[in-house]
Amino acid sequence: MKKRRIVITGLGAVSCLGIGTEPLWKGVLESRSGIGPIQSFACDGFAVQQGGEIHDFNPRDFVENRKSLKVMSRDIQLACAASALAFQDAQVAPEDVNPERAGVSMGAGLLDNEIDEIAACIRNSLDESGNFQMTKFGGEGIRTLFPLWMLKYLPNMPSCHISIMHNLQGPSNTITTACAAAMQAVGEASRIIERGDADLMAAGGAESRMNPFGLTRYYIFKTLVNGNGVASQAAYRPFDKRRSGFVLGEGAGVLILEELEHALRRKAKIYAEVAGYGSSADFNYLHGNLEDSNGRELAMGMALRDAGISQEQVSLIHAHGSGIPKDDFLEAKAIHRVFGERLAGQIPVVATKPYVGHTGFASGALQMILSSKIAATQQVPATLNYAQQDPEIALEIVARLREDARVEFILTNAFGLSGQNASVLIKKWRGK
Amino acid sequence: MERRVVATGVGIVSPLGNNVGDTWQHMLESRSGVSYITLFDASTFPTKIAGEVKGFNFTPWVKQDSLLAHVGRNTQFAVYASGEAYRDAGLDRFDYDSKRMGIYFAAGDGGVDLKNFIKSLCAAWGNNGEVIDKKVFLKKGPEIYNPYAELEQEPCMTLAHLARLFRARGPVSNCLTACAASSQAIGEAYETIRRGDADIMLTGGAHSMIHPFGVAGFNLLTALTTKNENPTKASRPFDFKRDGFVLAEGSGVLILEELEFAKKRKAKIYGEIIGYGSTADAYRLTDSHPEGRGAIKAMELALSSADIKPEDVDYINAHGTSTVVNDMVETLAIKKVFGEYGYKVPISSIKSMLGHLIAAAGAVELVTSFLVIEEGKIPPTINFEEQDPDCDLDYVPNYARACKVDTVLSNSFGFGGQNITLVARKFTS
Repeated sequence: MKKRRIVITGLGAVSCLGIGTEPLWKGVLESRSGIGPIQSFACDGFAVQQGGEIHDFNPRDFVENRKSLKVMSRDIQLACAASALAFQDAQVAPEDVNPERAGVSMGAGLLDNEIDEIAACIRNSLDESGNFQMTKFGGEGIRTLFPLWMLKYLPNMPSCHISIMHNLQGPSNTITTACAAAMQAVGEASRIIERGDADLMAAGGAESRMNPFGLTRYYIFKTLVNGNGVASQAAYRPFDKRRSGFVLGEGAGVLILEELEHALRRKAKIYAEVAGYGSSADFNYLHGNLEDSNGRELAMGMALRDAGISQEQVSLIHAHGSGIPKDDFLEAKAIHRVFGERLAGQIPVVATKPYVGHTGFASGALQMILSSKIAATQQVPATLNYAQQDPEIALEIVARLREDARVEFILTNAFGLSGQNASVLIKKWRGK
Repeated sequence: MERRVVATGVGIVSPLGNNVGDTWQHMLESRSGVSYITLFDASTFPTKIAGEVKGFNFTPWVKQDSLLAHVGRNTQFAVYASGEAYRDAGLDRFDYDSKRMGIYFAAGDGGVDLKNFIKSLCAAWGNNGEVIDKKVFLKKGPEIYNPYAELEQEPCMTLAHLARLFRARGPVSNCLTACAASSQAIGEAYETIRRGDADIMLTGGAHSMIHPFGVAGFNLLTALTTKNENPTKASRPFDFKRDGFVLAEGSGVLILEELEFAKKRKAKIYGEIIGYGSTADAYRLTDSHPEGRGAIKAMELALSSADIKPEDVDYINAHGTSTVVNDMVETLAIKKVFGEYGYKVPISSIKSMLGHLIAAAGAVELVTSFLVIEEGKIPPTINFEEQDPDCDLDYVPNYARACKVDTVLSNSFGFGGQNITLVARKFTS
């Protein structure tokens, strides 16, 4: 049987650069970051006051059913918006798709409670001296919350809402592998189409930890760039010698993946072809020793083998590039091992997180959206804020926008904080 | 050539025992693992009962490996059950290429660090006491939270520990699709081997939602039974008096291998996975589709991918949660797929004894299905006392039944509309 090919036919992005793929791409081409002062809650005095926060988002623009809005955390709202934008972009008419052959695959993880909502419940569970009493929680405490409270924060809800919104009755999956989640969701969606279990998949991820809980957690994990003002925006500089961590973002990305013949039949616009996917685990994560973290290299190697191409054929590496000092070093090292010293010094490498902040579960999807735009437009954005080479990195980091790049195969990486790695390889679409 | 996938190792931690043997034996004895909640004071909760794992000691693992010091109950159970499956498959005595071993797991969350969570909120009441002062919270929170305990709440951490402890560098993923999760993980692990991306997969699930927020959340949804008076009688799938599920915790793990790989190393083979169907209801968040649209399709897809007829199925391991709607719709869907034969094929829900292990449920059920094939005994649906006119099939009521079983169909339907069906068969070369 002939192998089923998979193409990307729709893109939907929601990020601090704007609602939609166009404002994101415009910002990227203008080398403009969407990171700014956090406005949704007071954080003056805190070590971190900058973030990639989305300001002009109205979920009502995307979710028709008002009642379902109430059971959507911000992560879910962003996911639904991105999916609506992606379907719009793909111009899929209902008669184009058999709903039983269409599915969804989303990256997610723990969704943060809204702090004042849960605080009200805890407050009603305190005794007269202000101590928490489980017996009060079991009665008055619980009654403070609304009946569908739990649904607002279940990790599988982005997928569930999307399947309902777009009548996707095929496979529905939710991948929870931290910062690799969305990339894996895309990779695994391509597998589902390849093996014939669906003809169309909405795949991506969403995350909003732009709230006191989320910011606190990332802060105590010692992953964030500290500081305030313009200096901290410019301080998000992956692969640069002075990198010191990431700036938190929030967002969502959804891509429409389609079996090639299905896409051609309905004369869909094609951004790129998914050519290969690989995933792997590190034995060590977060506090692991540097010598035993070869999972990144395995994932990249697997994606290349999966596509059946050689290292020389890769024209761009869209790096995970989190900006965490050790992570970028390990990614560079893995690139060197996969591509060899000579090629590793030549193949352009771009990191795009400084445009929108690190969006965690969504990051892989936003990267894949940008990779698709790069493949389609042959323009490679700059790695924002990259100025000073780190001798330990020794990669060809794209520091300025390249407007007439010749890009054929793009390898895009996403590596989870806890050792999960995913790489997806796409190919410029040149017609069948 | 088609790559076939067999199960060569199994592990369970459940309310009925902390290994496969005990859990299986107690199921055959029609025992219930449900009792009053001891993990916290649930005396004022609408539901005060659950299927807790009992007599579980994780200390030896932590003594060996300090990185396990802060893990949640999900990871504790996962590590323990994976250890059993790994040894059962003989992988501890076999030198394999770690790049060819992957993990597709369904770990739930690690559970909130409740004490510090409450402390952080109480440290930051605003002046009027109505809302949290965010500035104060951001100052106090980082002083109160333990970064390791916070990190271990993420479902991906279970996967990270499993990869390290059981030497798997190959394809890894963790899916969390509510009650369908571990069946979906097993289905995807099966596909990973079939495609040739790995020779060995560790798969299954682990979950504990028996914490105050978990019980509160399900209580608010009115999904749980409130039959607190008689815990062992509370989970009663398909019975007329069922009124909700019993929350439980634990882990089920399987080692899957490519057949030729398993044969070459002379592994013991429990059976083969031959079919997988995955669909979504795309209907409503809280209700399953009234005619069982997604469930029917999942079963049909599983049967067609296994290339078998409904009559070839000797036993159905039901999702059977004990909620009014689920059991009715599942029955309806089985009738639709199986026709007249639906009245003849034995069907049972082991959730009647274990309660509902949520993300881990499907894996424990598939392990059980392999034991059914191996031993020719079907565990019962206990507490089946009064016939519901809407549930009129053979649910193997109350007592285990001896019965030759070659092929099992196992259902898992998740909250939010994910439907997974797996088909397992006795291994024949």
